Order: sequence, then structure tokens, then C-alpha cells
Amino acid sequence: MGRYILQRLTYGLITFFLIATFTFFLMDLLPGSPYQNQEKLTESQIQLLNDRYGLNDPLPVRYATYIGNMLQGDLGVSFRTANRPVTELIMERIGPSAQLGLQALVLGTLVGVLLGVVAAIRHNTVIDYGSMFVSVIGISVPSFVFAALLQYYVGVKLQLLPVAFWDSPAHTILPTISLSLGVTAAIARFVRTEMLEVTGQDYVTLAKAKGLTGNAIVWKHMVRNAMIPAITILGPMTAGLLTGTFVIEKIFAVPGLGELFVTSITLNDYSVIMGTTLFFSGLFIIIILLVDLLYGVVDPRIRLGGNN
Amino acid sequence: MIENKKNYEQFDQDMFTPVEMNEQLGERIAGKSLNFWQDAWMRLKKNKAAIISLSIILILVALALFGPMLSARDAYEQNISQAKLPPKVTGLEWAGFDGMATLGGRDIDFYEQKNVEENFWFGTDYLGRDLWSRIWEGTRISLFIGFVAAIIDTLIGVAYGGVSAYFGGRTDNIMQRIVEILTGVPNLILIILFILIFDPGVFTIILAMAITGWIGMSRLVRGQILKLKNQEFVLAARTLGASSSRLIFKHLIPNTLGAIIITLMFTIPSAIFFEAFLSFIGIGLQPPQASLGTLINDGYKELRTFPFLLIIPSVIIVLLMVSFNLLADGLRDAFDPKMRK
Repeated sequence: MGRYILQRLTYGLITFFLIATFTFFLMDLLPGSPYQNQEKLTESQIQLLNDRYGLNDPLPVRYATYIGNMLQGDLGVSFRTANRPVTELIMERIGPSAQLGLQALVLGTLVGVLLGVVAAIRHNTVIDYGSMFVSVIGISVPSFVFAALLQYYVGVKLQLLPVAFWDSPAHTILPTISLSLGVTAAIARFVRTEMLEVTGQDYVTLAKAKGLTGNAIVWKHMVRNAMIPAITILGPMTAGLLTGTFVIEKIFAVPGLGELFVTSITLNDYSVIMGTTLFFSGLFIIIILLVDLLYGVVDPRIRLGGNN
Repeated sequence: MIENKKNYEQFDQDMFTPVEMNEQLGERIAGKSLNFWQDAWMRLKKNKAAIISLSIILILVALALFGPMLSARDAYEQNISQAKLPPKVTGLEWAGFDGMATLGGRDIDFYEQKNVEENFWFGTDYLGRDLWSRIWEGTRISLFIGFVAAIIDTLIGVAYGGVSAYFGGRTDNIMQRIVEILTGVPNLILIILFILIFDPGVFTIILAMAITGWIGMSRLVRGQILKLKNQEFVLAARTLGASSSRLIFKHLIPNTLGAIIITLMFTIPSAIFFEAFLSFIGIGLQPPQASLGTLINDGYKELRTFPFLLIIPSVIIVLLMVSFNLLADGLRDAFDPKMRK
């Protein structure tokens, strides 16, 4: 187990380093200038600014500085937002994104498990077909389409909830629902399949033989075991949530990381793009690693890296 | 005993024919022998959702190819005097295709107001371009991106996974380590960075998606081939002197084809989604190019007054995605009935 963790950590680090290098050289190729009103600047002013941001150094020097600073947690300063350090920008935007992501994850999991369990218990009935239809819709409707329609009908037409921004809990409802749609759909599908899988298992028969009620069998014995493999879809789901936050934060004007990333792309704010890319990549790598390790811990039948 | 005999004799002997002793008769196969594809098609035909989806896809493909000809209007021709007309179809007024839109709390007939005689089935956008033509033009581009991206992913994935699994040993080890490193890369961010550098366009998007898109396919093919390569039919072919390439292309890959097609079918909607996503955040296709993503993006900006500009392309993209997903589900059940739930 220890060896396996070490091996996975090494791969994670290599991936991260590759992404950092790749991002750096890509940024170097990027067209456009990072300065506002470049037309109004004189040649010498641009030179001065380039000197100040270290943009005149040769590529290898800049690369070494970049990696060195990165290792110390310094991601440079934003070219656009009045010299704000990128790390600071990221830190102040983690809050809304994390809250939105967690709320969506919890809501999506709850609704998804419920749909999946109900579909499996009422296998091949109208209820089953209905909940699987909801799930197919959830997988197929792009989150930004769903978000835009929710915003229009609930926010603008019915005026039930705030249309945008991130001030009160009420403001978080529409973005959370939009983001949770994909999670709900994925979990519902998965739980249904796994529930049908465990139906024929010996421990379910035993539970029935012991005279347990239907509810106890379903929730205490079947759902618990059906949920174990669900950990495997946590990885892809995180990726999905990331994708979702980009557009949903843009649509609902949530001051989160996704919005920061999308805005910095349109503004050519190189250092912020690099910083957020690294942050997202690191997060993604850590989550994938945790998911793999967690899987081994939760299900003792799986022995990681062991001799099988 | 005597009773029985009496009973027996009361029947006419002509009513009976003696059964001939024939060993082979019991082994006769009554049904028609079906090959893999016929068998799969037979099962697919029973799946109503999959067949309806297949029909919807075919209809949408046909409209994407010939739709603009039906309205005989160019998808790029601008005409400001006909800008922002709501959809109007004679005979479909009751379904909302009445040319009316709410502006400042009042329902206004835009056709009357702008003195437009002809009907625009899906209305027009802010530059007066015919939305019907643009929608099908956009659908064509979205479908093209979906198909080409899926085919590229499949080619790379099958080759990579196939080679990795077939040769095994050190080759497999190295190739899988590379895959392991690539899996850690959040593909969306990579795609975005890639598109930022090169000019945004159909081929940049396809290439960007291909960078990490093939990994899933290669894993699937590797798994399948590892399972197959030690089976007897491969051993038999090898004993008969089949070369590596013959083994791979004639024996191993055809046997994984079902799984490959299923994955391919799931790749198409996800590629369509990615294009729409990129266009929506403004780094996908650039105007005046139409794709479902750019149309949704344009429509979103006008959402308050002219919701049809968002709703129509949204409906098309949802129809496409649902149909492809359901068809892929159906194909999975048809190719591998064991997996059916």
C-alpha cells in the first residue's frame, strides 16, 4: 500500500510538472499583449514595463524563475488587476467556488441516490422509466443551456429567485441546481445499475431470510454496498463540476475561480491564466489520487498494488 | 391391458405415421443462422428508444444537409431591416410561431411593425440573418466536429491501446505510464489553452479535443485485447502462422468492434457538447461562423426579449445529445446483452 501511494504521488507530481511546463511555453506563444491600452504606450514605456515584469529575459531564465517562484507558492502578479498577486486573487475566489461545488455535489448526490434507488426497486415500471428519462436528460442537456433557461424562467419571468450575483443563500439556489443536474444524472444511473447488481447477492437473501423489512434491506444493506463503486465516478464528476463552474459562474456572475479563469482568458491576463490552470490541475490530480486511495480503503476486496 | 388395446384399436391406423430413427434430425437448427451484426440489429430493433433516437438523428442529419435549401435563404446574408423577427409559420400560430414578441410588457407583431411580408420559420437574429438556415448550418458544423473528433479519437485510441496490449511487457509498461500521466491532466483546461494559441476554428477545436480524447478509447481497447489475446482462436491463428498485423486487424480488433462502436457513439455527443461549451465561453468558433454553440451564445445575449433565439438552438442540441446517448445505450444492450439491465 505504501509503495502504491508513493508511486501514485510520483506520477501526480510528474503530471503537475508537465502541465506547468506546458502552460508556460503555451503562454509564451500566446498572441496579444497583456497591457491595457498598448496603442497609447510608447516603445520605451513598453520596454520598461517588460523589464519590470521580467518579460525581456531570455526564455530559459524566465522558465527557471517561473518554476522557482511556483515552488515557493508565488504565481506572479496579475497584469490587469492593479498588481494583485495571483495567489491572493485565487485565494479570495476559492470560497464561492467551493461552496457552489459542495452544495451541488450534496444536492446532486441526494437526488441522484433517491432516483436511482427508486428506479431499481421499481425495476421496469413507469417509475423506473421516468427516473431514467430524467437521468438521460440530465446527462444530455448542457449545463449552460439548463442554467440559462432556469435564469430566464425562474429568475426573470417568475421573479422567484435572484437572477445573478452571490450575496445571500437565495442567490446560491439557481447556480447550485444548474450545477447539480449532471451530478444527479450520473449518480442516478450508477446507483440504479449497482442496486440491480446487488439484488441477487447472498447477503440480501440472508437479510430477507432474517425477516427484515423492505426498507431496512434497501437502505441498510443494498444502498451501502451499491454506493461503494460510486467512488469511481467521483473523479470524472469532479472534472464535470469544474467544466460546469466555468459557465455557470459566468452566467450567474458568481465571483469564483471559474469566472476568474474565463475572464482572464478574455483579458489576456497571462499570469492569472497560468496560476488558475496550475491550481485547477493540482486540485484535479489530488482528487483523482484521493479517489483511488479511498476506493482501496472502503472496499477491502480491492488490494492496491498488492500481489494478486 | 386389454382395455388399453381396445382403446387403441378403435382409432384408424392411417392416422399414425411411424417416426423414423434419425440421429441427425435432433441436431437440426430451425432458426436462420445470424451473424454478429444481424443479431445486434435484431436486438436493437426491439429497443424503441434507440430506434426513435436513430430516426431523430437521421432527420437532423438530413436537415443539417438540406435544411438551408428549404428556406432558400443564405445563413450569412445580413439584412438589418429584417432583424430580430420572431418565428412565424402559417398554420402553427397556436404553437407560438405567430411572429409576436413581448417588448416592454406589450405583445407586438414584429412582422406588421417592420412591414415584412414573408415568413421566417425560426425568425431572424440581430443582423437579420435567417435563423432557420443558420440553425441547420450550425447543426452541420456541430455534427461534423462530433463525427470527426470521434473518428480521430477512435483511430488513435485503437492503435495505441492495441499496440500496448498486444506487445505487452515493457512496451505496455511504458505506454501505460504515459497514459497515467496524461489522465491527470484536466482536459478542459488543456483544450482551452490549446485553442488560445492557435486560431479558433473547426480544426483547432477538433485537434484540441483529440489531445486527451483518445485515452478512454485506448484503455478500453487495451483491456479488451488483453482479455482476448490469450484465447484459443488467437492461439490457433498464431499456430497457423498469422502475422502480428493480421492477428491484430483480422482477429483482435473485429472482436472488440462492438465495444469500440459503443464508445464512439458516446464520444460524438461529448464532442458536440465541448464545441458548444467553448463557443459559449467565447473561445470556440468565431462569428460569423454558425455552430450550435455560437447560436446559443448569441441567443443568450438576447434572452430577455427574444427567448426563441436561445430556445430553438437549445432544443436542437438537446435533441441531438439525447438521441446520441439513447442510441449508444441501445447499441450497448444490442452488442452485449449480458450488460443489459
